Amino acid sequence: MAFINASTSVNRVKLFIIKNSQAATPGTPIEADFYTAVSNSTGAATLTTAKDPILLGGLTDITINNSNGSYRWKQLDQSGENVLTTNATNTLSANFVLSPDTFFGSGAGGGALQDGIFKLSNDRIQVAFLVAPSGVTDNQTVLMGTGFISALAPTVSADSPVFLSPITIEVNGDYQKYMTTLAT
Amino acid sequence: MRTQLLAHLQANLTGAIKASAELPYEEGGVSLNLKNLRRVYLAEPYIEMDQLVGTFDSDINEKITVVQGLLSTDAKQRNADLDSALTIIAQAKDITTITNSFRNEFDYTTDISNGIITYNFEYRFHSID
Repeated sequence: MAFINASTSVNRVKLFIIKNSQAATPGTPIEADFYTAVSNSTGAATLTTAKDPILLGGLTDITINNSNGSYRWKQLDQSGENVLTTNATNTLSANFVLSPDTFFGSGAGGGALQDGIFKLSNDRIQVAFLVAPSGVTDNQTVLMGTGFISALAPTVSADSPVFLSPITIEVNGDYQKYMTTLAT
Repeated sequence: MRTQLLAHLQANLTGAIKASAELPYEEGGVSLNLKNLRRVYLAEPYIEMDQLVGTFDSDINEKITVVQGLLSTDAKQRNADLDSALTIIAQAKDITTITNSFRNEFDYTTDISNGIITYNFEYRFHSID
């Protein structure tokens, strides 16, 4: 049985975030908004510096939620209910180890990398994202979309003195499914 | 970390019980701590690595630096300095010259043989790697 392999250095899960306003077409991000090239041998991506993407490191888990709504009704001539699916609630949730560079940003400038995850959430800035369930080497399926960051809750404890936080991207509209092409 | 511990113990163990800079090796089949009673010997540190947080890219690891030590004294006649020396040895885990650890531990066990009591103690310094 084939399975989505997310365990190797080449195929590990990746999550890229840019400001939606910096996408070539805001609202409809493309692969090149996040990275310009990928090594098929190492899986390493060359980030699109002009768009200031964040490649969120330290991910401990990630969940892609695509939860359709439903409308049910009963008919007298049927014993079972009928159902229609309605608009989906799409969210992308994860937990990650905080790095000061990605969480608080690298400093002055207008991009996501300079703002950092916290400011993107605090200022309620719409972001565009690319989540790669099995990396971004050639012909891997990725999901892109736009949304808003929420649910940050950095936590630290004496037994594990590194900050961990959940993060949720409340997806605006649908996911765009895409097959990667930039790797060589 | 052995260097910092040794400096602290040598500076503070000023009674009959003192700290030696030598490693606890054997000489002529006899351990140095059994040959030289009332001397604290610290071994070379060794390192244990544990995964603290597993991530997709680079795990956050917990590095535990372990320093073991030995002190032997006469079991027949308890040394007057022993209690204060053990207190100083135990408190050494919190010396301020060791700065990069987030948890410091110390414990010891004893065994008696041929009229000599030996304190086998161990410092464990936990840091992020």
